[in-house]
Amino acid sequence: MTLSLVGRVSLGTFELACNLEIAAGVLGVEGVNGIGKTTLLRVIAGLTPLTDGTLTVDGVVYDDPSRGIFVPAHKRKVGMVFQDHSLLPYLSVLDNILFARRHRGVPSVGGNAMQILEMFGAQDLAALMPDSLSGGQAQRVCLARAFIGNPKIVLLDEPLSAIDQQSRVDLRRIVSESLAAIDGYKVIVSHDKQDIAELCTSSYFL
Amino acid sequence: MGRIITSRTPRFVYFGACIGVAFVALPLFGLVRKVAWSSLLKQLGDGPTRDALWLSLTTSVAATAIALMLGLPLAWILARVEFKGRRLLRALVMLPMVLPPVVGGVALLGAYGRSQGFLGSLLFENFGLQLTFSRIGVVVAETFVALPFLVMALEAGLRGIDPKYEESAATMGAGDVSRFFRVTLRLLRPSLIAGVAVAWARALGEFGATITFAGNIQGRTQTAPLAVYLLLETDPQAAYALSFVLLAICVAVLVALRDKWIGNRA
Repeated sequence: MTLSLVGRVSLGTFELACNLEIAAGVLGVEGVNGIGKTTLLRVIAGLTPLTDGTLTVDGVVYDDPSRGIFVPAHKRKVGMVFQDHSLLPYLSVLDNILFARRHRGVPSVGGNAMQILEMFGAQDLAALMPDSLSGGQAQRVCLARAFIGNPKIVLLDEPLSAIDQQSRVDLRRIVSESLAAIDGYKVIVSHDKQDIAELCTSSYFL
Repeated sequence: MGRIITSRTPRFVYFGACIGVAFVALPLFGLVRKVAWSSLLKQLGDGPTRDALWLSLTTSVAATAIALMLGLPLAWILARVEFKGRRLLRALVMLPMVLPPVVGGVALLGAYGRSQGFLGSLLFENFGLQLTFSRIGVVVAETFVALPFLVMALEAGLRGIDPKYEESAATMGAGDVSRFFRVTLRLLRPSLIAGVAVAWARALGEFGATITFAGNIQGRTQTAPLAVYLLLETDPQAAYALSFVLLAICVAVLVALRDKWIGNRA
């Protein structure tokens, strides 16, 4: 079972070409700023379509412009942490988690929203609105939101960048455990060598 | 906060602004001053006045609802779908905003008039439906003039929404319909309310297109603005009373909007 992405994205003057295959384990994506690490995650998530090429997951074609195939993002069972966290601003932290849980069609087993918040050290934030969170707090909530409901594809874009050094070790361990519990494809983009070293089992240079 | 000396407001600006305020406020004062307070309720409860007010309220609400149902999809297309002729479409949809309302009324007659309209004659012959001189005609005329206000507010609102929220909702598994109602519409709420308010105010005040297309039949198509105009000749006190009510409704809407939904941005 693999996720294979061979293709090219062209957005105006921006160009990204990639050729990668993901099996078990966690893939770390590295590369200089602006090279297209985020775009790579967006392609896998279904937020940016391929210009040409093919994205296949478990033998199912998700994106192939030459054949007119495109599986929309909401059908890809993705759990994603965005760089600029993008929590829904009109929902409380808990409601943001519940939004994800409901739309992933999760039964309450393995999808207890408070439990998952607690796991990421964000249980005290449940009633707060996103605009009152610090960067680090928002990232914890986003991690919880990405992991709830057993997504098939986990995409983390700089998931620990706003976490202070003291809590980083702890949180890295929690992310690592959460990733291990996911039976699917896992990709992390990070500038932090240590994040890549400790969370990922292989890496891909763009 | 520190002030920058070059941004100091020149005196003539204050002067111009004062004249501007007076220009708006003096007529309003003139209107309020002429209201006969002791007999206000009696005048409003009087047959034609009451009918006109009720007709205006019901038709303007109906027109705003229809404008919303048509305006939201239009605004979406204009804001988010790229196609050739988008600017042309926007100009067309916005046209009733700048068009003299009487011309709008004439255009409506040309389309939906019972004998003159190319569609109206079909409607009448096949279904016995007549829009002119009917309550539906009032709603059609009001919708025609109110629609561009809604489209303008909603298009600006849709363009102002950061796509990251809809994208993150999509990765959480929210499909098109769910995203539309639970994310886009929710983020659009301030523009939606502002757009509904101005469109409704425009519909409530509609005069030219209504009188041209729907006529001025008391109890059927005579809306409050039409009644005010006629009463000014026959019963000026009632005209002032009715005008005051329209003014009060508009002020109430502005105040409610500012405090409740739009926030307290200066």
